[in-house]
Amino acid sequence: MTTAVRVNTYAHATTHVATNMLRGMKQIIQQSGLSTSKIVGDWAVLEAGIAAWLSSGHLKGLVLEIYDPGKRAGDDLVGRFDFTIDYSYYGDGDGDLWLDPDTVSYTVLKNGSYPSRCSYRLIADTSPGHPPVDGWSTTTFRSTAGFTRHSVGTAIGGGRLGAGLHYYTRSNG
Amino acid sequence: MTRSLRGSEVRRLPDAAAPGVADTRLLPNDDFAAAWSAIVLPDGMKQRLLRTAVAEAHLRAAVPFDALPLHGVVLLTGKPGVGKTTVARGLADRVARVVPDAAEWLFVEVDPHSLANSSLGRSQRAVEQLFGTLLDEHASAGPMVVLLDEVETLFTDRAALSMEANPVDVHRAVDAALVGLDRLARRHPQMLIVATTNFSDALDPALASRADWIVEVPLPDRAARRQILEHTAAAVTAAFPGADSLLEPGLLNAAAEESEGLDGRRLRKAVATACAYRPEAQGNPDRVTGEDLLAVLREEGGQR
Amino acid sequence: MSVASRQVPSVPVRTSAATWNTIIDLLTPPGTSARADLAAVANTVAMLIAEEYTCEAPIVVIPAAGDRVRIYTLHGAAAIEGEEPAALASWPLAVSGWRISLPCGAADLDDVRTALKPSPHFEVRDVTEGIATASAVPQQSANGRVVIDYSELERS
Repeated sequence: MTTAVRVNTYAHATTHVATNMLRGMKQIIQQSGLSTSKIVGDWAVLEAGIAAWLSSGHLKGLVLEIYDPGKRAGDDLVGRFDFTIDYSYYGDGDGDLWLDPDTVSYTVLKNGSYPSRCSYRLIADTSPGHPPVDGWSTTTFRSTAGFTRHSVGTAIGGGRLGAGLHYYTRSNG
Repeated sequence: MTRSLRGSEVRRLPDAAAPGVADTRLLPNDDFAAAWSAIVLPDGMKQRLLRTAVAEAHLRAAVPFDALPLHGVVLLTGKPGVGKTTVARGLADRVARVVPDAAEWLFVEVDPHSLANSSLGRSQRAVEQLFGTLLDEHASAGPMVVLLDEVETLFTDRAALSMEANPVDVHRAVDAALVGLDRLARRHPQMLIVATTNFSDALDPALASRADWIVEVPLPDRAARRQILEHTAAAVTAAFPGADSLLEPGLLNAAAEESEGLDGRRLRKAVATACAYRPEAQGNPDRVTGEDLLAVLREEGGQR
Repeated sequence: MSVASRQVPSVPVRTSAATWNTIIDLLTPPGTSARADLAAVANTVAMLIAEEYTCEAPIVVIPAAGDRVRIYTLHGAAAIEGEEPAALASWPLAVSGWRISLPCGAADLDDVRTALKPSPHFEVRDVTEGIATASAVPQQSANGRVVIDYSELERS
């Protein structure tokens, strides 16, 4: 049993941001009327990847794509939510760990709900050279043509990290 | 490949690195058994200690604490080197053999110095952690013997504390230890605590009053001294056959006579010192003689 | 009967998944069948920990016999300042018939119940609900009779 004070604050910041981004995504999924069984079923793998790539600096963002399996492939995107990472949100790197749950609630409010037949997937947007993490495979984003991107604001932060939340809405009908 | 644990693997040893823990092992233990055989105490004392543990086991299992407040504490007092700690360990082994239990007996030796030496505020916390959590939880897992060696370090006489060296903290630590002891006594009738002290005057009376039995382990009398010297000489001769003159009955009688006032530990060490006495022997135990031993014992006598 | 209590520092000291691994190490040694049972629910429990349900309401380990273990998780500053949990005095999952009760918020209760169906050792309760204490679990000590090996006593 040790009583040493832990001083590795960058590790604390990355863990804090990683787990809370995942919670944020779960909240969006849940409050949008979709089942959380997929995100929960992959929880450990998701958390491990996000935390690892935040730590190594390769994570640019975490993306939630919501798609309608009843629609034609290539045209099935119905919603998208992004957390983007700012690695110098706090210049001096001393930011306290915080999160704003209202940011996520606001985002859900603006987007309403999706038909329960909709499915989703989580994608880590990473820079090249990121270390491999078990359980993750490479993929490409669905096209966001016809969508408008909106920024909500920074939702989670700590150390020198800030995670900003964005959502996409259809531009025309 | 997975496996299920057998019942005997369920109980765990405490973390030996935990604050306040000096040694932990399961009982019975052969090293401790050897100690019991080797230690020389006045006739019947060892057996009475064991019967005390047995009587306590019977009574504490059946009679409520409020009617018969038995703390399960036996306090051994006496000069350094008379064998208090050795007999305590031997007793732990004996008790485990005589009072068998479905769960294995656990032995924990507490190091009071590591508890008492903590910095300001930590002593009380360390004591509470040890008594309230570690010992309490392990006692819930099965029967247990706790050795509190040099117990005056932990249960210091509060009336005698002077205004130096964080006295408030020490006071609180002693209070916490007493409270902890009471709590353990009530909750765990299968826990036996053997405490030893060289300095019974330094002990807080509240600890002595909780002892179910206080035993003074005396310096060895002549017969005991002879036995101790013979036991040590036999062990040395087994390794160094040339030392066999140490086993001559006449020599042992004289040596026992010569060594009044020496404790058991000093007697055993004297056998080693004898090997270095004469320059001609060159420190070789095969060349030690009875005269060497007598000479060394006379020297020790002069230093007392 | 008594209860052993432990607190495990979680986010941000370790991830929610790593927190469950720490708890697994507390409860069972490597290579046991119980470990596989605990690993099977890792994703669900990690989520419960991430959502901090286990902060106010404990994970309750109910062994087949012996003391219960209450495990809380620490989060934020409390996690950073907290100490690593001390080892338990026994392995609570060593004897079969053990159960573990998990706390869960209302929003996730139904989903978690469904997710835990294949794992009969685990049950979930609303985080606001206490857990019933066991009735008359036989005390380990004192039933008034102590067995003495008198032949060993005479041999001493």
